[in-house]
Amino acid sequence: MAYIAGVDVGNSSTEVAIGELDREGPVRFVADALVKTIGIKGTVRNAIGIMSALDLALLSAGSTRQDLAMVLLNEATPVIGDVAMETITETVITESAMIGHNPSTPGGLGLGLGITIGLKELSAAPADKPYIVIIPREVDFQEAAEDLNRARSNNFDVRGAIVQKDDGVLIHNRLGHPIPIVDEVEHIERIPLQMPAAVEVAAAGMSIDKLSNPYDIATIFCLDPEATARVVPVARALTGARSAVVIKTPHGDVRERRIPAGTMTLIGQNRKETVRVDEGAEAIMAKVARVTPLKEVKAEHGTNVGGMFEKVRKVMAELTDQPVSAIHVQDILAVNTLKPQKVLGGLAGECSMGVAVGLAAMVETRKLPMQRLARALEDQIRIPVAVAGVEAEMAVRGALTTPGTASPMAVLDLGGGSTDASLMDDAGEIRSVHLAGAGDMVTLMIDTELGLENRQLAESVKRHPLAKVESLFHLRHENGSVQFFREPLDPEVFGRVVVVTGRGLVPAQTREPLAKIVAVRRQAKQEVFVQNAIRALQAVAPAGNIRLVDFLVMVGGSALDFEIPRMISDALMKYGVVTGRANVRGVAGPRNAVATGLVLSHASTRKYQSIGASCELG
Amino acid sequence: VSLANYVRDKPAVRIEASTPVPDSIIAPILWGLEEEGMPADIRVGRHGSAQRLAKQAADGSPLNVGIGIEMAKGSVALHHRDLPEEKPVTLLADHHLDVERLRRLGANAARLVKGEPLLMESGLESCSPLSHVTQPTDMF
Repeated sequence: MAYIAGVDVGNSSTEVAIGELDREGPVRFVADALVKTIGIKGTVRNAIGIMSALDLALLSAGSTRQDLAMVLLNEATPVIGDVAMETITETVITESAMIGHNPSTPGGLGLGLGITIGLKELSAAPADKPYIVIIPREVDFQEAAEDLNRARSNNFDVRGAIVQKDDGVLIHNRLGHPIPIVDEVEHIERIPLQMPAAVEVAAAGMSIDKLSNPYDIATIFCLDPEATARVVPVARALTGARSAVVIKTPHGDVRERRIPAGTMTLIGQNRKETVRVDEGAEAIMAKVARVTPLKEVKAEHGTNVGGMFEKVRKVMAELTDQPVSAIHVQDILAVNTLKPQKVLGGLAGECSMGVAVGLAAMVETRKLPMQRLARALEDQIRIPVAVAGVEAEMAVRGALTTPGTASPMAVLDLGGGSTDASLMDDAGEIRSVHLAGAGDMVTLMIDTELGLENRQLAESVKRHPLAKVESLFHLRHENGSVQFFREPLDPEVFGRVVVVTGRGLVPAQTREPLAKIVAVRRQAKQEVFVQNAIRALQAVAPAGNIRLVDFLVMVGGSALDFEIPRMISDALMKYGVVTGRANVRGVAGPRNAVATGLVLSHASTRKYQSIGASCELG
Repeated sequence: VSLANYVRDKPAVRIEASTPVPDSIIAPILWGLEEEGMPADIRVGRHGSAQRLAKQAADGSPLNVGIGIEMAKGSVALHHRDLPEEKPVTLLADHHLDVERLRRLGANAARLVKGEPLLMESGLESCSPLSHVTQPTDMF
């Protein structure tokens, strides 16, 4: 009796399958395990993760390393993916400063126009002008209301107020004469004084009407056509806000800045194409398809896209310990997205949604030093370690243990860094492809588009469904179902949108409503995985025709996602492909395909029979 | 309980106190409610701890939210009808009775009615999300 371990070191996880080989008879799988990959795939540090995965699997089989006759490592494909997000449009604003936000309770109603002035300076100012009064934190709301009422009786014309604290309603309720009040303005000290300003507050349930329209802003401040064009980002950023302030600042106070998006040259085996990034994702992907197979990408220096590729190459060069010149971009995936951009001149950190292109790049590196890893591992565990089998082939062999499958079968590996596809035809020939863009890109898109600036939270939003906590005892899941709890929920999640993780409820720290977060999440998954599934299948399918693929199984971490497999199945339905999540050996689900394939492949070379999968009934 | 009782009780957050409450305590609570646009209904005379008074106020409020003030101990509690008496939403002991906290308690009473996120001491937005994992226990 001998135990053989198959080990698959991936970008994010390390998987182990342990099979028992008798002199005769089929391989009997006794255990498997999954741990996080330690170090970059293909480096000696991986050994630490491999050893803990081996021990974990052996423990569940009730044995130790002593029972292990051999360890098989996969010949990992030397591709690594990275992602970046670049803006096409740089928001520019000149000659105006603005505040736009949704304080929960602003005061008053309507539009007020006047000159900005501090509350304490008001009494000394000339009384013949309309004013917008600025009330800092130090001034108590009762004092502010008294001052404003006194100013009014002294014939000062106060048309609106900007308040630092959450005092809008309190001040408004104490005024003899109603004015619109915008409150909770954090950086009130940045408001330029003695400048023409407009304050607008909408009724509950409504959003501002005038300050979100460039022509109304032009009317208020007497702007010429050129200046009107420049306030468009202001109007766009204020759209949908409950309250807003626009202040006209003297020429040059807020500087304009533009960085060109740039162009990139796609160099294929036979053709070369140049594309401007601001033509958008569709144009980029159309040209990528035209030059396929892609061999290298050159991006214009000193532009956004140039900077992005430089960064990707540098990171890859460091990871793989190679010169930057040796890094070649083998595939890119471009997706259209929106990126909140800090509006220049914004006084409360306002953002407008700029059009952006997200790019995932896949670089081919020199063959990964798997032999070096094998030797290091062998020294540590004192068991023979061999590098055996090409990853794509092993994945197909492992995936074919899914009950109900037969060749020709395609395997779609939905990972973190790349989307891989392999196809085994009737003759047992295997074709495979590695494409840029997978789970990490989805995370980046969610992070960027929702402006979370928190990769960990974005990852959580990607993986789990959302819910809204509606009372101290119940929440409504995103699919509309209601769940009640016997114990009260934490007041910290009350009224909030939360991520329903296996570990509990995590507040989604954004003001976006649940429906918007769901839409962003689904859109990101569609753009990346559905697009890549089709690209990948076209690359490996006989004659590039997806209809000629009979079976498709999905493996890899993202195949465990609660909605991605469904999206891909829906998209492939029209091609008549039997699509589903793999169930490796009838037990392991979409995990462990490569590790299982390694053990099976080893067994077959030794003239052992391999087993079919285990079914539950019949 | 006659129908007339329901008609007479205006929709308001009820505040119960054992003895008359000085302005320095009651005013900030009322400001918090006012800023959120929520009416209040103050009743004086019942006896008990802040928690008990708050629970009784919540039970009696048509909006199911109540505030209890126990002047002898200088404590203030915010309660909801569905919570057990020993588990108020907020309990401020005497050394916590500053204007900021009292006003936040008033605002949170209103937010509890409106179903809006509560204002937290630390400012939730600045914290790492995983430190705020809530593990619901005992679900149906």
